[in-house]
Amino acid sequence: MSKVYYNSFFAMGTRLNVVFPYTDEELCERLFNMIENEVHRVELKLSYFIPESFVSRINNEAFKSSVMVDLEMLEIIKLCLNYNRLTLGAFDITMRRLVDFFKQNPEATETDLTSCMQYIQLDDEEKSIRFTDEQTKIDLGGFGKGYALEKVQRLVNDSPIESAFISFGESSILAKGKHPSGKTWQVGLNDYINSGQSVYSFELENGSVSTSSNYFLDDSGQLQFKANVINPITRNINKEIETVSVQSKSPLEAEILSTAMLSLNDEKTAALKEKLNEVEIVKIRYNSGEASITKF
Amino acid sequence: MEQKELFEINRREFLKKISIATGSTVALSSMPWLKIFGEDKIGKSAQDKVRLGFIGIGDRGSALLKNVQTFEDILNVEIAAICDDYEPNYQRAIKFTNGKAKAFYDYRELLAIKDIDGVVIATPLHEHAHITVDALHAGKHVFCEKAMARNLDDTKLMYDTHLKTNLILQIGHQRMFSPVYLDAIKRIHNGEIGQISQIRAYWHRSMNWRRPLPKPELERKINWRLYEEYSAGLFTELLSHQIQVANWVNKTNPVSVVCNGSINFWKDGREVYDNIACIYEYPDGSNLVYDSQNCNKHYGLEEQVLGSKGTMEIEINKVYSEKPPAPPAILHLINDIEKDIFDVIPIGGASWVPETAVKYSGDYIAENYKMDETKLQLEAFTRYIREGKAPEELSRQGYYASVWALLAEKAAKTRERITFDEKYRI
Repeated sequence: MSKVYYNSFFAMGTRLNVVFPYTDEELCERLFNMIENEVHRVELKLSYFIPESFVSRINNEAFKSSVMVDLEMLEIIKLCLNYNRLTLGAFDITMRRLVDFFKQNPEATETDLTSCMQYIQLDDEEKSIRFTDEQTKIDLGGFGKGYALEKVQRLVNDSPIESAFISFGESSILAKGKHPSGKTWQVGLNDYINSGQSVYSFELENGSVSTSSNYFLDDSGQLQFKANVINPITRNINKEIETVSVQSKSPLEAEILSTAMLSLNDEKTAALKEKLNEVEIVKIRYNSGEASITKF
Repeated sequence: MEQKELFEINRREFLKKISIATGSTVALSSMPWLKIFGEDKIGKSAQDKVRLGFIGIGDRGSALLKNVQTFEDILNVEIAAICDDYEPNYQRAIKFTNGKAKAFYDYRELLAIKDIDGVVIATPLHEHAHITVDALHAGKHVFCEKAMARNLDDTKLMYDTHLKTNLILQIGHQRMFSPVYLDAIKRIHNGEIGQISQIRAYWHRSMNWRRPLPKPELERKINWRLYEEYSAGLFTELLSHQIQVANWVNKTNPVSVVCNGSINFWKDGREVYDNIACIYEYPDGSNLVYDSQNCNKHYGLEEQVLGSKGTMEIEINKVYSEKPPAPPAILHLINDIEKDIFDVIPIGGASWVPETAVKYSGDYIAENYKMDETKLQLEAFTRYIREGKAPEELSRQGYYASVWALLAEKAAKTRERITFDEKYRI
C-alpha cells in the first residue's frame, strides 16, 4: 500500500488541496508550508475584497493620482492587458461593475455599461498605474488562482518531490510528474447530469487544467447560473450551460484562457487556439439535455 | 450530515454512544451524573414518592415547576407545596398546581412540612443563600438556580452547609445535562480538538431587562436584576452559565480575572452594568475571553472553544477541524494511490459548487437528541433525592461558577486583576 501526504488550506474563497505521493513527510510538510505562505502572499496582494491588498489600494487611489507599483504588479497588469488583446477582449479585469450591476438587477439581461480596460494607463518607466475614468476598478478574480498556482508550480518544480497533484477549488489543477501507478495523471471533467462520472479526461503530466463554467449546482441540486460570469464582448450573462476546460503547461495560461473562452464562440476559440502552443481546449455544453463535447 | 437527516435517539443510546466513545468507566467517573441517562426503574409505591416544594414561582420558577409536572407520574414525584411572597406569582402557582399543592407566602412555613424531601429555589439571587441554608438545616435537599448567592461569603456558607448536613445542593447549570455539551466536553477531554488555547464566550441580547410594574413601589422587587443589592446583573445572570462551561472544558478553575464594565446604553437608573468584557486566565496560560451586553443581539450567545486541532461552537452544536476532510474527488484520488489504482478523477465541472462546497461549515457535534436539559437536571435531582446523594462535582461546578462570576464583578468595580482568595477554596 502506497503512502500519501495530504493537506489543505483556505485561500481566495476556496480550498487548496495538496496530494503528494509519499516521499518524506518532513519534506512534504515543508513544501506544503511554503505553498501556503506563497498563496497567502499572492492573495493579500491581488484580492479585490481585502481592504489592505495592493489591488484595493490601486482601486481606491488610481483615479485620483498615479499609484506606484512594484515590478511584480507591473508585470501582472501588463500580462492582463496582453491577454485582453490576445482574447479579443474576452479576458477583462474591469468587469466588476458589470458583475455588480447584474447582482443588483437580477432580472436584467443586458446593460449599457462597458469594459474599462481602455482607462488603465501603465507607466513602464515610472512603474505606476493610473485610471483615467473614475468608475474603473480592477478585479483579478479570473487571474489570481492561476497566478498563485504558477508560483506553486515553481516551488514544486524546485523541490525534490517527484510527483504532486494540487487542486485549487477543484476547478484549477496542477500536476507534477505522474500518478504512482500510471504514466500520467488523469483529470476527468465531472458530468453535472451524472455526478461522479467523467465526460472527458485529460492526460496531465507537468502541467495544469483549469475549468470555468457559467453555472453551478446549488445545495438542492438545482442548476444556477453564476452572476459573476459576464461576457465582456456582448455585456450580458451567457445562458448557455457551458464548461470550458483548458490544459496548458502554465496554470496561469490555463486559468486565463478558460475564463476568456466562456465568452468566445467556437469560431473565435478555434482561431485563438491556432495562436497558442501546447494547449488543449474542451468545451462541454448541455443544451440538448446531455453533454456535447467540442475539442479544439 | 444534514440537520434534517439527524435522527432522534433515546437516552440509553446516548449513554451507550458516549460510553463507547470515551470508555464507560472513564465517562462515568468524570461525569457521574451521566448515569441518569441509563436509569428508568422507579418505585411506584407511596413510600418511594419524592415530594418537592417550590420556592419562588416567577418566570424561571414557573418553568422549573412545569418541567417537573411533565414527569410527576412517570417518576413518582409530587409537587407538594409552593411558596411565593408576591401575590400574582402565589396565585399563578396555585393555578398551575390546580390547588393541590399547599401554598405559602413564607418559605419557612413550607420548610416546616416534615414530608417535603427537597426544595427547588428560584427566587431573586439575594434570597438564595438564606433560604438554601434554612432548607438544608430543615433537612431538605436543595436544587437552587444559579448563581448561588450575591456575595462570596454566602456562597461559601451554602456549600459548607451542604457538606455539614450531608444533603444535596444542586445548582441549576442545565448545560451539564445537555447531550450536546456532554458529548462535546468528553470529546474535548479526549483531545479531539487538541490543546485548548482560548475559549471565547459571549451573550448578547437586545432588551432592557425591565419587567412591567403594576405599582411603582414594586420597582426593586420586580426589577431586582437591575439593582446591586440583589443582583450582579450580567455577571450572575448570564456569565455564570458560561464560566461554568469554561471551567468544565478546562477541568480546572481560573487563576485570575480582569474586567471592564459600564452602564453604556440603558441609562435608566439601573445600578448594574449593561456591558461587560472580561478575560479569565487559567493555570496553563489559556484564556476565557468573555463579553456580554444588552443592546445588540446580532451575535446571540456562544462558547467557542479554540484548540490546536479544531474549534467547537457548542451552543450551535458545531465542530470544525483545523484540517477538514478532503473533498470527495481528492479522497477518491488518495484511496487510488494508496491501493495502487490508476483511474480518472472526475474533478472539474459543475458539481463544484462555488458558493457552498468550498465553504467549510463544520460538522455537528451530536445527533439531534430530543432531550431537554432543564428537565433532565430536575429529573436527576429527584433521582438523587431518592438515593440520598448527588455527584459532588455538580455542587463544585456550581460553586466555582458562582465564585468566579462574583470575582469578575469585583474586577470590574476595582479595575484590578483579581486572583483567588484561598479562604474560598473548597
